[in-house]
Amino acid sequence: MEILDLTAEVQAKLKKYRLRESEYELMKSLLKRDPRSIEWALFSALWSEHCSYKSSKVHLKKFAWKHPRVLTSEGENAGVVDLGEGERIAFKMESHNHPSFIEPFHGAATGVGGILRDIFTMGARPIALSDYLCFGAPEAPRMKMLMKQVVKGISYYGNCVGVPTVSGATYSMPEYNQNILVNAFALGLFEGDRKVTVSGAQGVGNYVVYVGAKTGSDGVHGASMASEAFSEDMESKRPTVQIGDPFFEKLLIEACLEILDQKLVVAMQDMGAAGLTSSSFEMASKGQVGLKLHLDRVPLRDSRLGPEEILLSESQERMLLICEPSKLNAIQEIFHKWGLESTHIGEVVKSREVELLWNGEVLTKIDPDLLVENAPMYQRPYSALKIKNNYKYQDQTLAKDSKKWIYRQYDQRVGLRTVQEAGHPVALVRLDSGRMISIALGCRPWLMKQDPVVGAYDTIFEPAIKMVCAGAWPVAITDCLNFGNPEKPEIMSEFVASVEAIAHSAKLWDAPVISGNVSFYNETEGRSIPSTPATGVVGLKQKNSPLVKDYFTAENLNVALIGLDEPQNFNPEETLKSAKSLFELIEKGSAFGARLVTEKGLNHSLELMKQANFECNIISSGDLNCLYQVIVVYDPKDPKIETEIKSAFKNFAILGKTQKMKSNFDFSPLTIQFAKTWGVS
Amino acid sequence: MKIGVVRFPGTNCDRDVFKWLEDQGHKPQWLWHEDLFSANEVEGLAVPGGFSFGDYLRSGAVAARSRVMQSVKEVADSGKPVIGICNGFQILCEAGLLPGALIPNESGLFIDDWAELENPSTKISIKLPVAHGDGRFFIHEDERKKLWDNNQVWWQYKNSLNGSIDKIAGVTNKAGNVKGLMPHPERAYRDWMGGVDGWKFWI
Amino acid sequence: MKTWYIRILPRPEVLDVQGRTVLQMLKNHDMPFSGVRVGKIIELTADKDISDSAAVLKKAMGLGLYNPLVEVAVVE
Repeated sequence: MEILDLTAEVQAKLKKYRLRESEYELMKSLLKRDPRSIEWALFSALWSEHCSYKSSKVHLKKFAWKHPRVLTSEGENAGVVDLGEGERIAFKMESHNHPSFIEPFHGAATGVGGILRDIFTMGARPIALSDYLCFGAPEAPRMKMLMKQVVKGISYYGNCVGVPTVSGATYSMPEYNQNILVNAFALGLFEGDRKVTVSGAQGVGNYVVYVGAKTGSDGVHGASMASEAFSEDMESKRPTVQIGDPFFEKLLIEACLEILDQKLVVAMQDMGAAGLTSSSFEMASKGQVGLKLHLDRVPLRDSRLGPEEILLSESQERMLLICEPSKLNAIQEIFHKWGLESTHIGEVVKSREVELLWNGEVLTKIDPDLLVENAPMYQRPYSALKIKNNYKYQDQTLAKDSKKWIYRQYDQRVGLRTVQEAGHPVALVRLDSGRMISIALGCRPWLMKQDPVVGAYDTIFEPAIKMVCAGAWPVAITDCLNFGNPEKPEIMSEFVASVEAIAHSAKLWDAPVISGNVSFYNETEGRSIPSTPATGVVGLKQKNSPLVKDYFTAENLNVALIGLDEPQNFNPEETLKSAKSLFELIEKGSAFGARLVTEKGLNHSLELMKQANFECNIISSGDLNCLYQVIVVYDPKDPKIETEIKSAFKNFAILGKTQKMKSNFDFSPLTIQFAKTWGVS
Repeated sequence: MKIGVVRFPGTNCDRDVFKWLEDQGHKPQWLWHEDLFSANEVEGLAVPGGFSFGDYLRSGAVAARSRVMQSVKEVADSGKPVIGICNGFQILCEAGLLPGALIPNESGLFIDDWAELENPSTKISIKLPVAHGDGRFFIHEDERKKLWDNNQVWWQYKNSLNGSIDKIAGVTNKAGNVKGLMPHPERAYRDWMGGVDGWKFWI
Repeated sequence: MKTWYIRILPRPEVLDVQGRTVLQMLKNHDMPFSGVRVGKIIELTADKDISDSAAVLKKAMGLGLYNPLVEVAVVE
């Protein structure tokens, strides 16, 4: 009788905290006893897929690479890259898929807020945002509303917080009808000689300080929800929707950068998924120390919250930091100036345990490693995939529309660094040295569906070649791997193949993967999204690099088409060689313009190049059937240039010459097409 | 010139405006929203754009009631040049230092784009970037007449952008020393920014 | 002519970012308030009275006049 009751109680807890029986057994063996009530909550949060990466960790190790340019990578919030000349950047990409499907405005907004915090918690000032969005078909239920509200949410948060959204990628396929993807990318710059902030707690006796907004019941149990597929009773399972306040975030950015500049902080971590739980336990585990936390000292928006809710709350715009006791006053003064909370809630202790107290009563004393380092790591079954080479290199069914309706809602120029904004193939953001950062997002779902291995290489190759066309070369990569259920071998196989292709591409381009995010369980009632390993590729354009345009800038220039790969025979090494040749051509100043032809076909790309009222007088149709075809514009007066191009590229075709257009380029058919499809004006 | 640059919590074009002024040879100085200052300390004032106090309630509404506005009023009354850009324009209107009000764009959407502007008196044409959600200028009919009679319309959009009455993009006070506009001159003063009409645009 | 008002406020457990900022502003001016929530009022008019107005209004609200995930709406 007793055993049955216990099992029923445990079954109920497993359901409530979204843990498996095997995980419960592991918890018991690590604790050497049955878990206490609050410990269930801790494990639930930290062992969720979203926080622990239990299905992916084993494979993500393939990204590890001790590269001289990388200052921090795996394990820290965002990767940091040293560009030389005293300039360092940090960037990362993160998903907010499940919350955005439920409440798109706030889901997308808090997605932007979350990724920004990962950047400035390192000590970098965010200077650019970008978003990777996958929507379903416009006719699908709720889809038009979802698109409008996601865009509005990104616009609301990014504009108010004062960071320009300079680039993005948006796809629409019926396969995303019940699982949209909202991935947010952010990049920051370390100003002056500000050091990179660590997240590992240090120094016995140092204070644990909570800063930012008060804690409410936002998103309680949100991290475990993000790790779960949607089912029919979605409506009923919603936790309180997380509300982001970009105004508060802006204050937090200024206050945090100020305390970092004044060297008042030992370590800092933002409270993201699983809020106070993940930040405190991760800081303790990373720093190999213990913490003593008084949960009753946490500033509350709702006084009814108990310790478990406080631990799991995902209220936004909060950070946890460690400081020397003598620095607390100075920190509090700065936060007070900016109108934010700052409360001393605990200490770093000698014993290697995190002790949680509630009004003096010890709720638990637990080794943080049990939760962080000893999270289960699953070796999900998969099989190795090969390149199939039967992919179509373009998709003419894709709507020839313009996404201007979307990016016109994003502030492009705040911060005075934007050289090339949204609407161009790559964004260019200026550094103080005069060099430029290039940003482009990768992953073309229509290609992934046809050939996951080529598609996965493409997630790096496509954005990288785009930036080569602008005279920039990739320096580092971040990723946001969106997949279905990893417990299904066919999906796990695509996951592993994607990781390996991205890792290989990173080596080829000499651009290490420095940060990333995994989003599993993007499926509804067993129907999964196409594997969508989104990437954020960041490159560098040198100061004296020639300005190359992605459109026609004058008349009587030659226009040719070059192919960087062999049709239906993708070879990453060979394609990389061709890309290098293209880069050398552009760096030499041999090209006035270069543009990668998109999946919508050659004519569409030529159309978009008319924006300065010059067009190509086409003398031959030219399509080379390659996956990567670049339109090159060069000076006819120097015959050496054409010879050079012909010898560097086996696949070459003359398209024609540029001429002045008789009337101004009319962009409206493209914007009207988008408006019609999505029901906007 | 010594120009005070006013900062509120949420102002995010402050560093941009500071740099714009500095690069043009002026001496910008920070002014914090909670501090009063003497009008003698500055030769001019700039109120930058952004989302002061999140633009909660109405754009610029909370900022306009900040302590520093007392000093801003003194400078305005003294006849020294004062410019409000975007949110700054909204704040000056809410504070009663400029006529009219800025309400949500006709489209209901935030608009980021380049806008062609024309000065109705000098007929000069320029191009500056705009980035705003509440840029629609509104004023009562009787006040509107006064605006034109007193030459207070500073800039107009060449093509209707956000539903502003008379396509008004910027106005001045009666004395002409206090100016406000929605477009951002500080975002267009170097070639690589895409335009240089913001260079020596104000003083 | 008949007029109805729908009063919409953020749900009490959901963070009201406007309310928080306005409350701080009022407190800075020494006002004795302890809470602020900022919402909106939707005014609906019809040429003549609607029979079974309660059901009709409920239907109207269900068409997205408010977001039940984050707001509460009361007909006045």
